[in-house]
Amino acid sequence: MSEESLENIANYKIILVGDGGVGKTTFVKRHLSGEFRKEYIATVGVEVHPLVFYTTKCPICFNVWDTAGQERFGGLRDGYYIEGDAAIIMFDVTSPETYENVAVWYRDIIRVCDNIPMVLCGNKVDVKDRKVRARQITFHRRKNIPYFDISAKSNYNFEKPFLYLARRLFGDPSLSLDKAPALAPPVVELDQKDILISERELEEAKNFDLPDEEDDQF
Amino acid sequence: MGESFDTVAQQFVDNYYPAYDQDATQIGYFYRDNSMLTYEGRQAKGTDSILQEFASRKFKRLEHKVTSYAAQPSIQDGSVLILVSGQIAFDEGNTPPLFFSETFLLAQDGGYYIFNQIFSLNYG
Repeated sequence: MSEESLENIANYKIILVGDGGVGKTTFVKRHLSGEFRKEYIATVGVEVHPLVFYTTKCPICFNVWDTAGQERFGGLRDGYYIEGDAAIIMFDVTSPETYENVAVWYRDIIRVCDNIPMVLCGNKVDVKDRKVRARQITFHRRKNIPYFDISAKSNYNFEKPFLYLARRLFGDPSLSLDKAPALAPPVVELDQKDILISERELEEAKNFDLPDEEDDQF
Repeated sequence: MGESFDTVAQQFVDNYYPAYDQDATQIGYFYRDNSMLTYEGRQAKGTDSILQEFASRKFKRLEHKVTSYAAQPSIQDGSVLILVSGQIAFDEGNTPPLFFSETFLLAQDGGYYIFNQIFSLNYG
């Protein structure tokens, strides 16, 4: 990325993965200054979006790596993962298949990066026809990583994954954001009733026992 | 020896990619049961599993733009080795173009068919 004018800024490489079409690019483009300063590295086939967040400790720049869609042809090359400081795995709550593949993405990250801080996000919660219910999302509990419902198009929970990763990277659970990042205006409205139901479901799901499943093999 | 290897290569490239882009699940006539595909590291052998491999990838739209190719006659009589380079655009096309290279070995069995095929995206 280009030279940073802010002093004492902490820079991290964030790997953004998930099946094609889950909304990774839409999500990362919500952050306005990052969208303005993004850079395409043709040889690696990656668009790097520098997303700056102002935390109570110091400004932090997440250099979010977004693919040019190579994942639609097969897995990603190791160069995409190498030296990743943290990762966001995304799926689409309207497409169960993309949730099933979360395990594959998780395995690929672990293979190259070991146990870096990670967060799981279910995108498109603004869509009325949600197929992956909150209580069905259990993968993160097996791996002990947090999960957030998000809606890139409405900015719902946009900063949550980044705040979590900042806390993990700084080792400071009380870290918070000094000011909200400038985001592109929402292009869809969320139904507050749906959101309340989902939030309650997510809260309740925490207390359910995990079903016995074989996907611990990853 | 019938057609020159250059002619075979040109006709193949002109026909294969438009057919693939239109519907990759309907191009079984390019393959036989001893055909082999390696697509971004994944392997498939035989017409059915090759078409399955193509079907497992869902694009709303896919377009190969061939920028160059080169051919040579190969070991068996009439067989042709082709290396194709180009760009690939897909779906809404609002992502930067990806570059690909693809190698084919065409064999003769009455007409030509694809014996070997290796597809690879060019990136880091």
